[in-house]
Amino acid sequence: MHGYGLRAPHYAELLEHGPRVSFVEAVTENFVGRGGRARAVLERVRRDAEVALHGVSLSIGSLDALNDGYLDRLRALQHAVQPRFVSDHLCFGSVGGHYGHDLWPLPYTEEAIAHVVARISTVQDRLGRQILIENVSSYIEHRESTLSEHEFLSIIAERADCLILLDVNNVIVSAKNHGFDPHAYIAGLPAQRIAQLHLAGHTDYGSHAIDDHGSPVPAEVWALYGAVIERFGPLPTIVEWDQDLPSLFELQEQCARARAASELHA
Amino acid sequence: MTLARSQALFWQAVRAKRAPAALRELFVGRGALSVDKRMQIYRAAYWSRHEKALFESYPRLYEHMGVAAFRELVAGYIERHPSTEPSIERAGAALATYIGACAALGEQRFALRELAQLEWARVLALLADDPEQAFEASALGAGDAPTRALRMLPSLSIVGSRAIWRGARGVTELALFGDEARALERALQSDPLSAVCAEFHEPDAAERARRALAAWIARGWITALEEPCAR
Repeated sequence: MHGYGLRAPHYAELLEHGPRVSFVEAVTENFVGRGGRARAVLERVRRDAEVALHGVSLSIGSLDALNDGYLDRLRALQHAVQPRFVSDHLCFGSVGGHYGHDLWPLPYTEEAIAHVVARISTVQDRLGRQILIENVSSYIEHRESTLSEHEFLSIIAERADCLILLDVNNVIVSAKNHGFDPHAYIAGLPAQRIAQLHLAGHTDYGSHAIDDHGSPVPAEVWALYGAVIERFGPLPTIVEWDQDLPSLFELQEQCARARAASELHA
Repeated sequence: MTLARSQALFWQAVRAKRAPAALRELFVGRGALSVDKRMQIYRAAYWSRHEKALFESYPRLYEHMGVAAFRELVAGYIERHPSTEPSIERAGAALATYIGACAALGEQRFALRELAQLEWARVLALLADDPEQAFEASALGAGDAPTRALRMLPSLSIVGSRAIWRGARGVTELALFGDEARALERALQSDPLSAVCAEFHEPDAAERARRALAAWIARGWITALEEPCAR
């Protein structure tokens, strides 16, 4: 299954023609507790494609209490949409009851692991399903980290018994920003936990890279995607694009390329 | 350093104009980019993302104020009212309140507050849930209907005397006059139908109430008659 993330400028075309791919991903916060056009689009694409709900505000690593209202609304949406996957990010995004609307990196420590594992377990109990946790792009490293990012992610997935949404572009971005080997990162992940992949573009400024989802998937991400498929086999893949949004046709071309790469490397 | 200390410091660093000195205790710089420059990536993303959300929520307000003045207003607002909702689309919820309390805006703050209230009602109309069912007008003829409340369209609200709702063609505004505006306020407060109708005054109170209810049904504003036990 290969597809793309639903974005509002494409809604009219999606309502008229459907997604023309087998898999789409909806950003949870754009659909929870809301009706109208957004919900109509979700209902339309469900007729032709599998759906994943992908959150950005679960704030699984935060010390704030889990947001009960948000979880209730997510559960209701999950019931209505019957998604193939429900996912969010391995990060924190709220402090003291305030949301930053961003994906902030955690220290890779035993304290953070214990905290996140307990919260993932609570969320999985509340939703009655396994969730997927995604590696984020990061620009800064905690001094107190005692593990590598892939070790941190792997331990959490095992202990919480959750799955991993592996964002291939985020691996490349963080590798550039922190100087690690992206292939070693992939080699260190538990194959049985990887359930979905993300592809996207980023901007490389030389001194650092920014995960801006504003361009086609670059060659180095395609190359790592090939290595990921060789290691884990073909997996449901979403192409994410948020800035300078292209036509649906161009997104569909990126999806077709992902499908071809999957077939080549599987 | 504990998780609590590091998250509190991160939050402080993202929102501060200048990075706190303790930041270098918390983070490692690597290569060409210092810790401060790395934190600046998060800081810039935080402010620009909120600013973008507020520009999208309040297009008439920023057209009225001009981009520079609106940007300054938004910066002060985010400083005072950090988002408390998981969806960034709701980050502007308290802007009208903030404007009303912003003495620096002088006398114009009252008009700006009203415009912000109207625009926020439009945002809420856009984000509201769909109605559960279509309404059968014949239900208003039930014997106990006057004692029951009307369930109104989730997207419907009233600001001043303007009704705002999401219809088939998107978010719509309609100016209401006199007793119809007051009647709609009562309906939105889930008062009994008899109290809603009592807002229409003579002459022809009954006929004007009947016509208003027929118009509300035609606009899709009424979605159900609440069960008697619901209040």
